[in-house]
Amino acid sequence: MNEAQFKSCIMPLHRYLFAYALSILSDESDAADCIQETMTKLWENRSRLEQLDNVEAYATVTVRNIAVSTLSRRRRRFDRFSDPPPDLADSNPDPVEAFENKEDIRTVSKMLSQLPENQRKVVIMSAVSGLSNSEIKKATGLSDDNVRVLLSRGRKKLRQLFSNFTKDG
Amino acid sequence: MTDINNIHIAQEHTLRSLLDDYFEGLISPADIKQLVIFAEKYLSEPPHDLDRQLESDLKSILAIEKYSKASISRLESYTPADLENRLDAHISRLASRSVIRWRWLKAGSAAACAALLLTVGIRQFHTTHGTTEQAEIPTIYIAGTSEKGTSEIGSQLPISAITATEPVQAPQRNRATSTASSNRATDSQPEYVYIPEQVTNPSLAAITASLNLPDILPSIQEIVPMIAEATVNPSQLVVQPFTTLSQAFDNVFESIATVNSAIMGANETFEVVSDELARISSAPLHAI
Repeated sequence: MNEAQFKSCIMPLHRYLFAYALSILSDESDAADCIQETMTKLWENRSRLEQLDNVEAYATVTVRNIAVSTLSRRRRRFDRFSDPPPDLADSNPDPVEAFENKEDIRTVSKMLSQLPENQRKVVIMSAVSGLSNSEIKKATGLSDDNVRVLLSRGRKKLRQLFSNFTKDG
Repeated sequence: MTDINNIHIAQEHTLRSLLDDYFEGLISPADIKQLVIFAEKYLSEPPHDLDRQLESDLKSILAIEKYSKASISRLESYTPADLENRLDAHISRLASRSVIRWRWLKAGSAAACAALLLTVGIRQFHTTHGTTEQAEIPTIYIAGTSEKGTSEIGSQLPISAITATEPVQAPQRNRATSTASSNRATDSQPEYVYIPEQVTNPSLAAITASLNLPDILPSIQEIVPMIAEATVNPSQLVVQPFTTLSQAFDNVFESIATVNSAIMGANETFEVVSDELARISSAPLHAI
């Protein structure tokens, strides 16, 4: 794969990859660095890219690995998850689905903001960033059991909130 | 109808199993994706006796999935305007670096070829000029036993009896032979015959013709301009070791961080124990 082929194959993914890195790192500068590092890794493995069916999935996994490593080195960034989740209802890019999804997304935003901080952190890392328990452990420095318990409590709390919401609704 | 019910029962069983793992925090990201697919499918064709709690759970999972997709879409709008250019330049830099590396490889090969050619050339030069002069030839001793009456025996010695610059060993064997044969011929005495022979150098043309060397001149001519064009960025040469050093430090840092997290885990355990002890100590005795 030469330079032009690499650019035409990978560059269209950069916005998604950046967003994904940002969802893990919560810092634009770190996310941009992460993407640059990802590009280096992908370039080094460019001969392998041609054989892959899903380059996007491979690139996503590369971003995730680099972002988790970065986060484990710079744990101070993790504290940014303590901010309440933003209201995403108006930012849905698909206008057809926007109305349908709007309430669900707004509801989840509200419910997430009701979770205790540590539970919210791991639930967002799992749900939004798609990190596994071991990756959350690496990123946060928590133990396996702590991650599992926080996830379990957070999800059960969300379940309860959602159940109450549907009953009221 | 029965089949559909069975499918629903099987789906429901799988769903409940996945949901249990989900709410216990034991599920992997791949299984969450599977759960989402199951949930979408199940809710699109719900059975008659749909469990309300199950429905609520599945809806909550789908809502979280929508939230996560919306989050990523929203975050795309945070992409810096110059990121594309930055990445483009970075990829170009990586590509040019690999070209430089390739050029260095070519240049190295060319230099090796040139050195080989030079060596062959120098030898050729010396050989050409050496044919007019007398080459220094090692002295060859031909040792053998000559018996009186058979003085021509020295010239008839087999090649194994000829030793170069070591006239001592061969006579020892021959001396023993002569001792053994002294009973038969008492006048037999070992002799050293010194025959300096002149070895003529074969012609260079004959050697090169016999070696059948490939013609590498066109390759050299092709590579020489590349050597001339090859440039080195000194900053890259300097930065590379620092990058390696930085990675080494990162590895050390991660190891320390792992140890730190282990100690933190122990600390948390002690805190929990401490809290429990504090709670027990503050509780009345009958309540424990």
